[in-house]
Amino acid sequence: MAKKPVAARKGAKPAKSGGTFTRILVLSLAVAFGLMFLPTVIFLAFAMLPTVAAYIVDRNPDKYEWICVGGLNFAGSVPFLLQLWTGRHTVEAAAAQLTDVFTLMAVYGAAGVGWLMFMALPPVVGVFVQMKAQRRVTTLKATQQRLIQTWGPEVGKTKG
Amino acid sequence: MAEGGGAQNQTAVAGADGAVVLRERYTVFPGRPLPDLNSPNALAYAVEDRRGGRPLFALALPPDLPVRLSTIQTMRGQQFNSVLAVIDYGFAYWTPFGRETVLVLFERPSGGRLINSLDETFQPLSDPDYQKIIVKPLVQGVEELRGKGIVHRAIRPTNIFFMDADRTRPVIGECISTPPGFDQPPMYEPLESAMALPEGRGPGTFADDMFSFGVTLLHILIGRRPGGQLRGRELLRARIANGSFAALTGDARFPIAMIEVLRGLLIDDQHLRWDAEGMKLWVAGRRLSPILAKPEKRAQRAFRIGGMEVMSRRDLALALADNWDQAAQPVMDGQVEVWLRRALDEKEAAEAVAEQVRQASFPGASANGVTTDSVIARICLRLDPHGPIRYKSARFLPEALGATLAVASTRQKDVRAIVECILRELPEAWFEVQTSFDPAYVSMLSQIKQMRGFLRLAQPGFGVERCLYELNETLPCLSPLVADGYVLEIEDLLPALDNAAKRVDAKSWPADRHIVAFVAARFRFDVDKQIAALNSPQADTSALGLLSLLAVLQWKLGPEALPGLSGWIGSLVAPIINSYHNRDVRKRLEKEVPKLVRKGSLPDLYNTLDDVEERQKDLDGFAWAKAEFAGAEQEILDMEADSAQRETNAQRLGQQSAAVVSVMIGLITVCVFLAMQVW
Repeated sequence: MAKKPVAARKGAKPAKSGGTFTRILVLSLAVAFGLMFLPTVIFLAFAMLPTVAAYIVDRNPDKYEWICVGGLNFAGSVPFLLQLWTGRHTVEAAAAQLTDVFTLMAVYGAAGVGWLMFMALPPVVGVFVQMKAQRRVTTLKATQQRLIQTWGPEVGKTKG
Repeated sequence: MAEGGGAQNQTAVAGADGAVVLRERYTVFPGRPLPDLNSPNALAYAVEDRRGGRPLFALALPPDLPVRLSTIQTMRGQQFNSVLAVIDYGFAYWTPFGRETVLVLFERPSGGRLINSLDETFQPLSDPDYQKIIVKPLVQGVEELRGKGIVHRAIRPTNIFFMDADRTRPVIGECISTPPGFDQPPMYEPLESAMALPEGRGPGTFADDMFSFGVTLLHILIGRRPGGQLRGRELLRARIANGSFAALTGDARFPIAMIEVLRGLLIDDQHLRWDAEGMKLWVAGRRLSPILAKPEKRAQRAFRIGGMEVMSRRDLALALADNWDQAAQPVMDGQVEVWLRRALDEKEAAEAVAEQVRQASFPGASANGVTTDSVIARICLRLDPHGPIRYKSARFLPEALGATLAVASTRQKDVRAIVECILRELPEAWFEVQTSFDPAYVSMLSQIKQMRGFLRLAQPGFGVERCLYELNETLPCLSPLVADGYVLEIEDLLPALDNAAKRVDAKSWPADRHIVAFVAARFRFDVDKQIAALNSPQADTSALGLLSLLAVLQWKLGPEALPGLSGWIGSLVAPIINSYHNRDVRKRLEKEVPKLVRKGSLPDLYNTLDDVEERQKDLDGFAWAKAEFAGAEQEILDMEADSAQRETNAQRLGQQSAAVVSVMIGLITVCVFLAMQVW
């Protein structure tokens, strides 16, 4: 009986070291990737700030808010990201993009639309669901009324 | 009722003046009574025979008593020389009674009645006249009755008539207006039946007739009431103490030749009593050895009860029964036992009494039906085995149980005492103490056991009413609904109810306890299920049971149409219609019932209202509807209860939708811009 926990502890040790190794590997690759695509990383880091903010402020466990904001935020960033990739892919070009008011308005505006959509759509769906439920209740009550007309009030009695 | 003898085609047709015509021949006039020919319980009326012939008269029988129909049928049309001949009979609505009854036609005696009252004193006939005018013809009458197998049970001087105006041709009068022995004064009955109530004497035997005949001969011989100054109980006790012959003849003086015959006829032991053959031999001149009656054993000292001093077993039984309320103390204290043992030296009887008292003293004896009253009754039987069953006010021989119950029911007597007798197994106790065995006892015991079973059930179709009709085959139905009819046969019941429908409240129930019991007793098909349904506490089942019972009767016995009864039943079928759940079916049945009612067919009405397929369909449909209703109810409740959850779900769904739309727009944008770059 006493050997099992020992074995379990022995088994746990390599797993912990494996996890750390993976993290270090991933971090190293990310840093390498970041250094290779530094202009893109800089652009996205600034352009996707609303998404990051949405992720932080979203208290909902499902975390749909950042996806909603992020989707449109990314859609707004794509034209400028493509310009960066198809033009000069330098830190200066990325900075130029980020300092352009039009670019920021487009990118953050798209994120704002995402935010608005996230706020507006649930109440609309709620109303729709409520209406559907009320309609179902009305149908069921009509069915009950029809049964009473045909079989009498005793059809609704649970006993007898 | 008029249809009472439907099977025998004896229906009478009523005239405008209330006169009825029997067999399209005999007209009976209710407005022309013949009081001289009345029987104690039946009134006489004038009759005209359309074909001429002999003068006739009719007796209208009391409709509340069992009729001796088999005796009437046996005597009808038979030729008698010395018995009043029954010409015919029929059932008719009799205006003086305000209801239907049995009319029996007799040949009218021109010479009237021998004497009109038993207390009448008259000049005795000379011996030759007595022999010629009285003895020989009446012996012939007794022989004729014996030859036809008829036990008369009404032979007495007031029931002797002369058929001729010269009063030379006597006949024995009628015996069919009441149950056997019912009209007989106790003096004319053997001791056993004299101690019973008039209705409790039973059909009896030829020996009983011979005794009555003997007293009648004595009465005519001495020209006054036998028994001297003794009357009622005094005479009865004298008969017990000294024998009937000694008590009845008393100090009367009559020819020595008559002593032999009177001794032979008036002996109390019915096995030693002369029969018709013996009388015939005596009339022919053959003299038999005289019979000596064995006197009742007398005690050394008297037993006192109710101011009486009794000296013998039989006398004690009579005294205990006559002083019922005072009998418990001496019986239960052992005084009776001690007297039997010491004063009468009857050890066996004393032991039997002691055993009865001991059984009554056991704890729980009362719960087993052993009460002080039943102990007294059983002791009376021990003391006088041939006497009647005596219990409280009831006095009857077991074979008279039916008539006793019938008379008690119809004439407001104590029915409860008779019922208690049966429940306490007193008839069985009577059979136990008999010294000789009669094969008829077996079937009587079986029938009494069956009656006890009926009495233990209180529902309609059982109880006293069922016993009444089981024990009295010729008692008409006593239901107030058919009271003005004379429903003797089961075939007559539905037509009588059809007539009753015209005058009764349609909301009343057309099957009271008497009708259900009458059907149960007389209908030869098994209707136990219908009666069980009829007795159900549920209105629909009960109504269906009623309809089913009457429908079976109409189906088996007819008639084809009963519009009155159908209408009556039709107004009572609402619970049956309402037993269907489906409102459409109810509406359809409500429309169909009036049509079937007009048709007058109860079987059709029953088949429509209790269609098995329709009922099963209704039950299945109702079960399905209930399930559907409950499902809908549950769903509604769930939806109302989950309102907050549904809102939460809607919120999440909205957020999911927004996220999906956003991601889709993002992907489409990427695709569009990439495509623009490529092209």
